[in-house]
Parts: sequence; structure tokens; C-alpha cells
Amino acid sequence: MAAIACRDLCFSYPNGVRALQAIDLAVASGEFVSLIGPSGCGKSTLLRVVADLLQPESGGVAIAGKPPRAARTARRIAMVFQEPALLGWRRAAPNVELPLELAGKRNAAARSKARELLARVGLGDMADRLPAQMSGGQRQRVAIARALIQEPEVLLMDEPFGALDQITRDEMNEALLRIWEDTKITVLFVTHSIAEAVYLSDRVAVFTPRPGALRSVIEIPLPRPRLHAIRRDPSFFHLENRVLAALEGRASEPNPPVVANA
Amino acid sequence: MADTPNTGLPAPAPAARPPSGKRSGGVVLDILLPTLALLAIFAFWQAYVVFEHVPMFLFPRLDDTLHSLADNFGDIWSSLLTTLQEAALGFLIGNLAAILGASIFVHSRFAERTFFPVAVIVQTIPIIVWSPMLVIVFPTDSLYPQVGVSFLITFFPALVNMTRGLREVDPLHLELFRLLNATRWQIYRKLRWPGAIPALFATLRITSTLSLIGAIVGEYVAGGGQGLGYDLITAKQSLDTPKVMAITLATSVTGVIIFLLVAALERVVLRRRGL
Repeated sequence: MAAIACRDLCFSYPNGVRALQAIDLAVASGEFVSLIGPSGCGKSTLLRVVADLLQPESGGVAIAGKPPRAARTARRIAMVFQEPALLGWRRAAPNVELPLELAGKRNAAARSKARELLARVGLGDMADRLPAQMSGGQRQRVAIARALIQEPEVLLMDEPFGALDQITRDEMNEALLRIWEDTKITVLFVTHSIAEAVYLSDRVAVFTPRPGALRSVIEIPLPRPRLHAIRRDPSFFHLENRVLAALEGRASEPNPPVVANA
Repeated sequence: MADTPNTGLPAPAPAARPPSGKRSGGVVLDILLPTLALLAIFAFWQAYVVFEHVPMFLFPRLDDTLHSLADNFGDIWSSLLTTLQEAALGFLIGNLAAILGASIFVHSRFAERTFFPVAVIVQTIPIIVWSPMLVIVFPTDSLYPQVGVSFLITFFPALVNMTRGLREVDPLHLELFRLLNATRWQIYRKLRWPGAIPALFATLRITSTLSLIGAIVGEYVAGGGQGLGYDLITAKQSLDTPKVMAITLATSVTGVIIFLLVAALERVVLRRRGL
């Protein structure tokens, strides 16, 4: 059974603008799928429909065969937003504990789990820092730890590294890959970066401009565990080009055309 | 990002904000500058009255005012205690009622649509119109009519401020809490309320001085025969302008002290939360 299954999913905003057009997408359990497409094509909307934060107009979503509401109320859906969305008055550890606290589990186990997860995202010594005392990358790591503490069935990531500089972004990609390899959690990942999508994903789903429809889904058969060096491999460039071609609506070309000087 | 110079080196982690907000110049300037401004005003006051030969029944000199303050200190002090009681009650009841109202408003648009216009209308009615009603409703020589006026002056700004403080939540936080299946109570308790703490202190600062003014106005118009407001009337009627200004000075000093106390409390609380 697919971890996430969208069947003929359509969504329109209350003002009548159609954001999603007949999306059919199945994500297998433990799979890492990226959504890429032009701004405003409805990728984030799709995440919110999967998360039961928005209701589809027609068609439907199933998470492990059940409606999203069941997964959400069981707190099995975690989300990481473009902004860390940390509570500014809480230190890192209590921020990570929030999902358990809201589930009525405010105990020593929750506290030690939060510390453990902070160590896992590389912030073992920052548990008592306030968000204002951390860098953007560190804050986003806290947000990832907060998502993981729920032990979610699916992890939805809405351009989580979009606000970070390139160097921090590369570090975060590494960190996320290592965590995903350990946990084998199902991830749906929205991004604007082709390189990021290719580097992280098992498959990349390419969206058309609004209303967002799936143009194509590209397999990324790069071996795992993936190391940073693979980004300089010709096969990596080739896959980037395929995604780019799909974004631009061209047929995929085996090799990028070379402009010859006459 | 765009305005950092490109040094070709890896960007350093953004500087963490220091946990305590120390400003340049610090406390000395904070005290020195307002003191200088006040002294300038006092000097102008004294010079104007002396050189323009303003008669005392119109406006007193500064030194006469200070003499009057010294001579009447006992009276003014006991009146001040009465006024402070009324102000404290008006402050407390006004803020509690406002917080309660704001908490209801953020949970019920219906309640807000029904009662906010009423609050606005109540606010537009001059205090002078209220005073007879308050005197009728409450026992005559009690403190309550004055407390009522203090409440009326305090409540509305507190309500507006707290409603905004509790309502304005980061939409992303709200989405996170909804995703986590939080109850409305949890959203209130763990998101709205902590987020409204700065608004709460802004409210307390404003209403701390307003409640004092409210109590004095209450004594003035609904007069129970005691308190600074009543003293003001009697001093004014006997053309004792130095006493009028002495009472005014005492009121101002008290207001400033209360304001500073609230500001100090705010600093302690916000520092504990690292804000």
C-alpha cells in the first residue's frame, strides 16, 4: 500500500483560482519524492491537502490507505515549513517537545527524546538556546528535530532550505539525507532547486505552471548512500538536465546541445 | 544576504542576538536626559512667571509650589493613598475584564461583533455623563464611583490592545498547531497567550497611568469628598494655585513611579524569556 496516494486530486482556492489539476501521485513507504515546479504552481497547496490543512475540491488523498484526517489527528503527519516556525519564547528543547506536549505527553521521556533528536541534527550543545540565539540553519535543524519527535508516517517539507544560503543549504541536504537513510521515513519535499531535488530524491515530480498538474515524474537511479561527490558526476548533470527539460516542457535530450562557434 | 560584502569566504553564522538588550549610553543617559529636560521646563516655568509678573491666583511660581508641597505634604500623602487605592482597583478590574473580553473575542467572532461596538459606544460617552450614574449605582461616600471612572478609562485601551495581542499569531504557527491537532485551549494557552505577553506589558504600562488619571477624574466629577481629585477642587475654589500645582506634581511623580515599576517588571519577565 502506498504511503501517500493522490487520486485525481483537484483543488481551487475560494476565489475560484484552480491550484491543482487532476494530480495522480503515489509515494511508496520509505520513498523520498520531490515536487518541483514554477512558483505558484500549487506544490505547497498539494502538501497542505495531504496534511489535511486544506480540503480537496475533488478526488482524494489516502495516507496508508486512510484519509489524511485520521493520520493528522493521530499526529502521524509532520511538516517542516520554509520558515522554522519555532516558538520564540521557548528554548530549543521545549520547541522540539511541542508535538508530544500537545499530545499530552509532557514527561521525562519526551525531554530525553528531544535532547537525543537535537544531538542527531547536530545541535547537542544547543538544547538551551533560544531561537533568537541561533542561526537560520540551526533553527531549521530544530524544526526538523521537532518533526521527527512525532515519529511521523510521512514527513512533508515545504521548501525547508529555501531561505538558507547555499553553503548552509548543502550542509542541511547532507544532514537530511543521513537522517532519512537512518529512519527510512516517507518524505514529500517541495523545492525550487533542481540540484537539491536530484541529490535527495528517489523520484522528482515536475509540475506545470498554474493550475499545477504533473508533467512528468523522473526516476533518480543514483546509488545510495549518496555522498556529496556525486554532485560532480556526469550522471548527476544528466539527471539535472532531464528535470530542467521537463520544467521547460521540452522533450528530454540525451545530451545538452552545444552551441558551436561558426 | 544581498548587502553582505562578498569576501569569497564562507558566510559566518549570523550573529546571535545577545540575550539582554544593553544599549549604548545605558542607564546614566536614561536618567540624565529626562532630568535635564525637566529642569529646563522648571526653569522656564519659574522665569516666565517671575518676568511676566503672572499673578499668583492665575499661576504660581515654582518655589511657591514647592513650599506648598512641603507645607501640605501630610494631607497630600493621605489623599494620595486614597487615590492610589481607587486607581489600583480600577487598574486591576479594568485589565482583568479587558483580558477576559479579549480572550472571548479571539474565540468568537460573534461575541466580538456583538460587544465590540458596545465597548466603542461606552468609550465615546464622556465621563461627566457617567458620573451621576455611578453615584446613583454605588454608595455615596464609598470609593466605588471613582473606581468606576478609573475602570471606564482603563478598560477600552486594554481591550483593544489585548484583542490585537491575542489575535495576531504567526499564521505558520497556527498551521503547525492545527497540523498537530491542538485543541483551541492549547492554541490559546501555548500560542496566543505567550505571544501576547509583549502586548500585555504595553497594555499594563498604558493603563497604569490611565487608571491613576481615571481615579482623580472620578474624584473630581463623582467626588466622594476625599482623594487628590477632591483636594484639587477645593484648592482651586479657594484660588490656592500653589496647592493645585503641588498636587499636580505629586500626581506626576506617582504616575512616573508606577510606570517605572511596570517597566521594571516587564524587563524582568522578558529577560527571563530571553526576549
